[in-house]
Amino acid sequence: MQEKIIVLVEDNPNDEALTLRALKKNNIANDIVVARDGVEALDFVFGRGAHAKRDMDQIISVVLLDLKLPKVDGLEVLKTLRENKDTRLLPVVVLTSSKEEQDMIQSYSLGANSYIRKPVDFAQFVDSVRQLGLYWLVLNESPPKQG
Amino acid sequence: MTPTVGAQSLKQVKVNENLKKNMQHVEQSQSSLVSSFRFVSVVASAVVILIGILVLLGWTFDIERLKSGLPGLVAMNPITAVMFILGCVSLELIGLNESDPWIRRIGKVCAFIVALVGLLKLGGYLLGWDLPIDQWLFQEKLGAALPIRNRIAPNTAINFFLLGLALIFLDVETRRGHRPAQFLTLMAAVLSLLAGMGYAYGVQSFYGVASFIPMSLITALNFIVLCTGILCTRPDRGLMTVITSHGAGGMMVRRLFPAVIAIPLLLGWARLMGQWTGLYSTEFGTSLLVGFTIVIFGVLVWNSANVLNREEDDRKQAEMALRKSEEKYRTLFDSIDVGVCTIEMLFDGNGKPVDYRFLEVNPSFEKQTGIQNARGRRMREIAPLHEEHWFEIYGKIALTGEPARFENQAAQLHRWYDVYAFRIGEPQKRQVAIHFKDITERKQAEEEMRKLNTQLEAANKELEAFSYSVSHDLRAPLRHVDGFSQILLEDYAEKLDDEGQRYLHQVRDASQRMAQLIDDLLNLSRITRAELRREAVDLSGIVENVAELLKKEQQDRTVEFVIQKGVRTEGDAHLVRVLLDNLLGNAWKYTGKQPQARIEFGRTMQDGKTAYFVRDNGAGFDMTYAHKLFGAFQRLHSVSEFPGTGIGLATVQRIIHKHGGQVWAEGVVDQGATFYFTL
Repeated sequence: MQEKIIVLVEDNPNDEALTLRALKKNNIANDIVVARDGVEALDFVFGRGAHAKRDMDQIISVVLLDLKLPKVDGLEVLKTLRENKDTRLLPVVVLTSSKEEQDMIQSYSLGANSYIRKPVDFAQFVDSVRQLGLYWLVLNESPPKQG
Repeated sequence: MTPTVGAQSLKQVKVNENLKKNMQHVEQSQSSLVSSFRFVSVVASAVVILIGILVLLGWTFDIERLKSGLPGLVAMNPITAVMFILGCVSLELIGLNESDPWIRRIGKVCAFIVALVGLLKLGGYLLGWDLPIDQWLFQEKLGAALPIRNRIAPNTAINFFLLGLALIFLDVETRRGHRPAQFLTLMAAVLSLLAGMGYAYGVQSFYGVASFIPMSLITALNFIVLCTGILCTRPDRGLMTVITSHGAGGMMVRRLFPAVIAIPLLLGWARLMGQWTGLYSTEFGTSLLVGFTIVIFGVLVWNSANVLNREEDDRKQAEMALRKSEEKYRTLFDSIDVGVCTIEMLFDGNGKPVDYRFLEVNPSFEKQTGIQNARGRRMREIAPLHEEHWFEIYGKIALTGEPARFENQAAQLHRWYDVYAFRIGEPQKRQVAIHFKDITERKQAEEEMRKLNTQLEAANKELEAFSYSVSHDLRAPLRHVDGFSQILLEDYAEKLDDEGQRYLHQVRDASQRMAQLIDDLLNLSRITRAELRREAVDLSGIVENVAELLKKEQQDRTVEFVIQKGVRTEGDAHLVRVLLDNLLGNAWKYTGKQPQARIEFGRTMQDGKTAYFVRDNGAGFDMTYAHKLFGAFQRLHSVSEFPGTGIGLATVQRIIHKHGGQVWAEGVVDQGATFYFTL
């Protein structure tokens, strides 16, 4: 069975640690790949640059995308993903602490599948991640890979 | 306006109206007067021709009556009759037809014949020839009744000569406007009059000169009619202008002249009649004549004077009305706040408007433009750098007559003007009237405002960006603090004692609070920045909705809601929602300790204005601290009693003030609180 990867795009190491812990606490066993900026994220998804050698047979089940990223912004990443026919259908969940309506509107307009606000309360966050995982990894049917 | 002033101005209006009517009347009657005189001329020549024809008929058929009028009098010579006919023809041709030169020439030829005959006959008498012109017609009959042959009398000859000349020179006018023809005609008329009077008074020498056949009575009368005809054919020239003038003089002349001629004749005749019939002696007769003359002329003069006086009065009144009106408008013109001027547009060879000259300016003009002594000067010489568009606009108004209203700048004068301009007077005069006001200050204020607005917008945008990053960046560390504290609690629980764990809980709580504070502050600033959009809002509906949500969130609580139905008003839907969220949320929170919680919403009247209220029977508050209620982060209870950041009411107040309304509260400790607001 092909492994399903979760790509977490997050520049803040603290946020990264907390998110990973939340995922672990919820027994989400998948491989989690962390990209620390937009460029790294795109490189990995398309298998180029620093991640040229990645196994393209690996299916990415979902991308957890933060918006505020250095180099290439979260929305830019989203846009690029949606423009490429290979990744047009890739599930992207925007995971951000921004409460700005504009960000939400932009994200959805550019084709994000979901928009989650990171709560300050960690317990709440863990619960949110649990639900996230349950939904996107178990319940949701990933789109077929277009050949 | 007091009634007296109103009545006065009404009277003035009446006088003005009369003035206008009179002037129209004058113009009309001037021409109708002229045409009636001309008509008289036509009639006169018709009469003369008729009589001439009748006389000829008389000679042809031997009818004495037709030849001499009254029996026993001398008959009109047939040639005289012919001359009369010719004279009238000439009068018709020349007098009544002013355009065709050929007709005039024929007329002049006829007149020439008449004059010639007269001259020859006269010459004959004076120099002793005997030109038998007057014997040409009916020769055999001429000597029938009288001992000597019927001939043209000398005075008849003179008259024909005079009238012939008058007809030839009918339209000759000296530089001073005199017409010699009129004088000639008058002379002829006087001679005829004397002859006629001679017949009336039996004065032989008047109508017959020495041993010659006297001017026949009909001839004399005919001459008078003909003279009248000639004089009346040019009623608006030379001497006649006095008679046909529409002023007081003309009126007097037309009234008096007939009397002046007729009455002495009548009186003279009456006096003689009386004497002849032996009614009274010469002395008595003369005194009677004189007496009557004095009385009648006295009356006539008095009457004329009276009429003249009234005319004068009317005229004076009209003048005064005119002057008053003139004064009124001058005062208006002088005192008006707006600059008013009239200009004359100047165009170049191609019809392009290039300049204008000031004709009239009012005192405000100087104040509004800073230009002194503008009258008579051209704009180009006053302000050489005056913009092209001014000349174009005014030129267009002068040519098309369309008024224009616009605002524009006069750079050289350093001012902005609000202008209304329109054409006045005759179109070809190219005059434009301009009403304008200096609006430089207003324009400057507008400019200021625009600048301030742009600054404000820029500031707002900056604030927007700032708030965004604040919300985002401030929250991240909070998240970490909370997160790692939790991890500590979970993973290192055994290593920490109760105290330690409690501290960590505190840390978590604190970060939660901070997050809440950030959110609240952000909301507050967002509300202040947002634009108000007024629409119809259903307050009752919103309250019901919020109540439902509150109940759903905390299903273990039972709260009684009393909501007045159908409360509607105008306001920003979103902000009103936030407002009610806060007020109802507060009510919900502060009735948390009240087992029989009751929250009311409704509408009421306060000081004649509609106010809305949210009432609860919860914790209430001390009225002493009422003034602190709406301050940001101000709380009247501790966090342990009731949670909250203290920003809710500050938000409420901001929203209400944005709507231009007011908010106030009444409360009693432990009994409840009521919050009122207007929108």
